[in-house]
Amino acid sequence: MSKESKLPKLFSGSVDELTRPSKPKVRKTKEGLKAQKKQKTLYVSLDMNRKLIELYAEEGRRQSVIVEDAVNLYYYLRLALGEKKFDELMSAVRREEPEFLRQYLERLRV
Amino acid sequence: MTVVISVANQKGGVGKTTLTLNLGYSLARSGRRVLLVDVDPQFNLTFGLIGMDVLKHEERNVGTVMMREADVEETIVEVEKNLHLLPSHLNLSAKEIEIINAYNRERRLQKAINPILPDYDYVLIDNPPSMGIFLVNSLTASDFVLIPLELSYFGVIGMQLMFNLMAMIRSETNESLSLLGLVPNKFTRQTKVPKTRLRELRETYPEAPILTTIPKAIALEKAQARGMSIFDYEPGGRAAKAFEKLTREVIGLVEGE
Repeated sequence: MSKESKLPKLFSGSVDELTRPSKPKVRKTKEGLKAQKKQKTLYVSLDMNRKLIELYAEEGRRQSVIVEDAVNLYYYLRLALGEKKFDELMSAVRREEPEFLRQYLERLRV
Repeated sequence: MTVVISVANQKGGVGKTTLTLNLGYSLARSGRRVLLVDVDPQFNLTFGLIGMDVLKHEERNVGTVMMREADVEETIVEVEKNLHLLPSHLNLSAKEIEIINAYNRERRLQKAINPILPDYDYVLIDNPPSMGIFLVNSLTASDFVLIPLELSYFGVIGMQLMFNLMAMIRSETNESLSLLGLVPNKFTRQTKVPKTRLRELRETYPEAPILTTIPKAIALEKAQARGMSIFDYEPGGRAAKAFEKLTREVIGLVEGE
């Protein structure tokens, strides 16, 4: 602060830092978990069950592979977008309107 | 993706509502879909946009939406094309006590507006001039903060309190909250004070992003009294031009245009 300035400085942090989002916290990944398998029972709606059947029937894949892809998509999109923006994306997904989602994704900025 | 901007300053009378209202109109008329959210129990923004119709919103307002007593989509009012309002109400002060005692109290607004965010390009939140649960909710739900300030001694002091509050919110509830800029308001050359304070502000915080200065203009006061935006009341006037410039600046910063 200049000696001539009469303004008391009440903020000790960096304003420059305030103009940028904080860096996301780095999460540690545990080794060896990808190779090991675990049985898991899902309790889902009939609608979700129908969509899952549709996916593995059309794509010729096992349910477990689809679930792993879906969870990875959810997990890493959430990390990439941040919790708040990810929740917003999920609000668009919950409309269950592909055209609305396509338009939303066109405007998506990270 | 929707951009949520809190217009905030813990000092009163600095032009938060004027900035929210006119920036909202300007963004909407540039083709952006805009939602204005009034979380100020003094409901000036709501009154400025819908007048005495505010009385019809006892059951449906931002407070009842935050307490999940009303549906957000049914509460939103269309002001004009591309410009919607989530209104405040006289009873919002009373709701404050309920919200303080509610589960997840800092994220009530964020959770409440989340389902309708994909319908908008910009959400502008007009805040009360006090550090309470509504301002904390607003900053928790926001991506950016715009700080209007009066270039007076206490005006600049109040702005610094906002920096401290932003730092606290970033560490506690919203790490992605960023300062979009400071908007010096009610600028006049009739005295040397505003120019001096602006110089002091630049000296004290050389890295602070200072955006377009809004001039002190009686037209802004008259426009509000008639429930109009400055673009309708005095198009082409000094204040309208300043808000148009500010809008281009905000779009440039947010959208990179």
